[in-house]
Amino acid sequence: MALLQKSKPNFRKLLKIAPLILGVLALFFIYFPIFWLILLSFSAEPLTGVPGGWHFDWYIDMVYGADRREGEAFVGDFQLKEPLIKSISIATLTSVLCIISAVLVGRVLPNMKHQGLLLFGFLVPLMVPGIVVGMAMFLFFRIGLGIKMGTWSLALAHFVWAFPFCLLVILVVVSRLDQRVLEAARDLGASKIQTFFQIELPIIKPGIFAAGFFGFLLSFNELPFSIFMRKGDMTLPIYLWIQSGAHNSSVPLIFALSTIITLISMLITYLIVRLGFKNG
Amino acid sequence: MEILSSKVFILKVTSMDLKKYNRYPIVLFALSWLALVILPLLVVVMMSFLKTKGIRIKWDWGFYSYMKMIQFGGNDVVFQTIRIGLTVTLINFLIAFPFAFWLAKTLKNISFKLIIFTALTVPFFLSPVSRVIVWRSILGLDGLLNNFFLNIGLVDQPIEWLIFSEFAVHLGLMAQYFPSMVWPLYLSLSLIDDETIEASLDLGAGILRTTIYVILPLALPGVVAGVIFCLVPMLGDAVIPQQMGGGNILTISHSLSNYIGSRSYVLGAAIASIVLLVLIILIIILWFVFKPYGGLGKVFGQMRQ
Amino acid sequence: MNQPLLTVRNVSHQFGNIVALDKVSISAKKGEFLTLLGESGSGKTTLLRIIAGLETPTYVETITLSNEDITNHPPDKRNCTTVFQSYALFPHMSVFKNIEYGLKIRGFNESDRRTRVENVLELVRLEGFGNRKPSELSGGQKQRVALARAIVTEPAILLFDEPLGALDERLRLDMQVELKELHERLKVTFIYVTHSQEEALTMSDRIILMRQGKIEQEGLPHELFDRPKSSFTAKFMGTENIFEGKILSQQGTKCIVGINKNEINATWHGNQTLKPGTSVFIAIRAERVNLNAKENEGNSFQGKVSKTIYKGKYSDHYIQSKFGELKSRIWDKSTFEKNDICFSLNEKDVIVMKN
Repeated sequence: MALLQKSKPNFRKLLKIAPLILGVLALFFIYFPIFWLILLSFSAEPLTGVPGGWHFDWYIDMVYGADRREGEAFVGDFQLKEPLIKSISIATLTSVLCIISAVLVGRVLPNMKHQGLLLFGFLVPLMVPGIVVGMAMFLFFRIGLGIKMGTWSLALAHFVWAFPFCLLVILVVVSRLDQRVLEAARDLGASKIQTFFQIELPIIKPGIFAAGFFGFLLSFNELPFSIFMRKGDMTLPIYLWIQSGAHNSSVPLIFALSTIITLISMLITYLIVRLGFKNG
Repeated sequence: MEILSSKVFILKVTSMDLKKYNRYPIVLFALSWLALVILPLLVVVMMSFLKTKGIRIKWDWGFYSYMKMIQFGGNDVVFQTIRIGLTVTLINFLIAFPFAFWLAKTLKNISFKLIIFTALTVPFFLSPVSRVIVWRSILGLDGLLNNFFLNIGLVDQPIEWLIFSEFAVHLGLMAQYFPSMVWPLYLSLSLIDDETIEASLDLGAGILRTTIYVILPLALPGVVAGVIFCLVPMLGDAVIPQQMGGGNILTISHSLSNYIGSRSYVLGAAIASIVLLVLIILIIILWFVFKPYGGLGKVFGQMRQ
Repeated sequence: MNQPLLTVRNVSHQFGNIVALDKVSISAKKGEFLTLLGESGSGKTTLLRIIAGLETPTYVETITLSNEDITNHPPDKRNCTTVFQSYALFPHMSVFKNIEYGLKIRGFNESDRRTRVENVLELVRLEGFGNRKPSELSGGQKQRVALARAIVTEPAILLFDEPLGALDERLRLDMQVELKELHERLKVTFIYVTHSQEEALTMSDRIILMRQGKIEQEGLPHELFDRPKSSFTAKFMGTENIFEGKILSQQGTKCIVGINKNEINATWHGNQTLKPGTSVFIAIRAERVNLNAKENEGNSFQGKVSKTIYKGKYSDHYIQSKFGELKSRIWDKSTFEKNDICFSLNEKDVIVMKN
């Protein structure tokens, strides 16, 4: 007899869904190209923008070189190995440096006096365009101080770029750590060093892993800084950047490579976010 | 003997301030950071007021480089870039604000939230090239959209302005910097107590008024931060304007690479300083906005999410 | 015109799989102080929020306020305001602006607003606080600003969501008195949610005791206190002694209940007839146990004092008797040299309950 009443009129329900639709739309513009990229990397004629004719050729070419396939007009100067190795080594170095300094800074920052100002200073690379900081550092070191660029400058640039992210991650993890647990350890007799390695470190380990991966990914994929801070060094993103500017036939291979990088990056990021969420 | 040593122990335990970590490492680091990052930026600003003779720098202060930049048409580029930047930032804000609110207050399902968080984090780590090269094949004369429109008979000829145009640049920038706008908004909106919003509704204010009088003021720090993280990097974006604008849309990054490439360092410094100026203005605004909340430090203390 | 001001008919609400309210109906009269009493999870806060419009019930028949059907109205369109447990003051506005907010929405002009805000500030004894910010106020002061803000719009009903929960005891007791006085002055209907039975007894005109989404008992304070209908109500209202027994005979309000082969004269307030042999509970307040009984008085029994706990204002004596352990609360300094005592119970103080 009594009716089930929908107490809110439909307009309000619509209002609830609208933001989601908007956001999804915006995200769509980010992810559709990626999705398309993946499709095209498996396609026969990627440059036309139409997927189809599925095959792994581009991937094979990427690994073995384009000359493997005879009769094809695809002769690209696609020398992957060198930039790849360079990118991996710099990224690893950056990642390690970032972890160490982020932990160092992140543990202490919440207790410092001018933490707001300090944190702000550390986040500068996020606020200033990459090329501006890159250019500034280049001018400072090369022109101002007369120091020549080299691999060191590239690594430095990557470090500066990745550090803010890693710091933020560590800060989040550290802020969840209850200081009283550490006090209990000291109270029971552990020294400062023991407390750090036996109690604190294990607790913030997930954050450290996350920061490490983030640092690696950020360095591996970094472009604007690297353009300035190198001297002939070739990282993978730079290589791809140059290759993509040239309208030659190695472009399809770029698709394949970019797909792999993208998928791996997405997977790692998802795992880290999930880890971060599960822990708090 | 025993009593003495236990007394000493107690003294040791009580006198150690567990919160006083060894300050030296971080101070050292902060100083190096200052030298490596902040200092160069300051030097750049300083440099922009200098004169050059060829590639040598003369210690002559003035606005020469800026005037030279205007001569080269640099100011047009700057204005264009700022215009594009402001437009895209505004669009991003209008989309991101309700979205961030929905994410912070309405969404309860955790798995869904996780997926969205990931979706909002991944773009930071992707290679710029991967993101952008595909657009050509989607928006190009020969690309997906045009083929689709031709097939369904919407147009007779391929639409030219989809790629290598302002439209394309706007689209690319909007997509790329959308997460940078969402995150600060999300954080500051989630700090607003649910009951504060309910109280406004309870007192008779509708959704619109509640947003204007209660939600926006309280989320203002996040709004300004979002603008900073979104607008300023966008001004210097090197990849998107070049890839999606072809050679048609000239932005600050074009000019910068030109100047540096031709060794006109002071010009480069000048144009970079303008970007920094925008940043500084926004930071000052941010500082004022943060004041009622006890400054930046306190806000980070509250970030326990 | 004694029509109820507010009626809620048949509201049910679920959070996922958890049933918060199960077909509850209540009504509130104009000007009364109605308390929704219960433990956490009883549904009292949910009910309050549904009345305010802050929660949309899974199912409801109607909600009417001042003869208007507000079932589908959003919170901003209902003529009631809430005083939140966390105060929910707008942190970016001064005390004055917080209070005038509701008036601004309703379109009062500036001088009207000023007058009203100042009047209400005086009412809650915060004159001169207009320019302060919420962060500068103490808990009690914030509470009063929240109160002022809700009152100034002159709603038909004021809803209180455990407003005194965050205050310390002294302040809480003072505020209870203040709220009661305020209620008498304003003559507005108050609907008050609390888990404290003392608070409910102090302030209410009528109490609705809720349990797991249903109404357990409804009535005047002394009815719940002296005449609980169930052992849940009795326990909640602080009755310490509850025993199970069987009806031996019942006539009108007079009953004889048998527990462990002892007979007690008891009182039954219900309407039904209780057949001999029915299982019932009896409730006896600790304060009503008379420890200076003479041997042959009605309802007198032997017992042994096993433990005494001194609590300052009163002492609790635990008596082992033939129907179990009985707690007796005495407000004087009498102690007992001998352990064996004879205690008696006035039959009007022994309440029979069905469950």
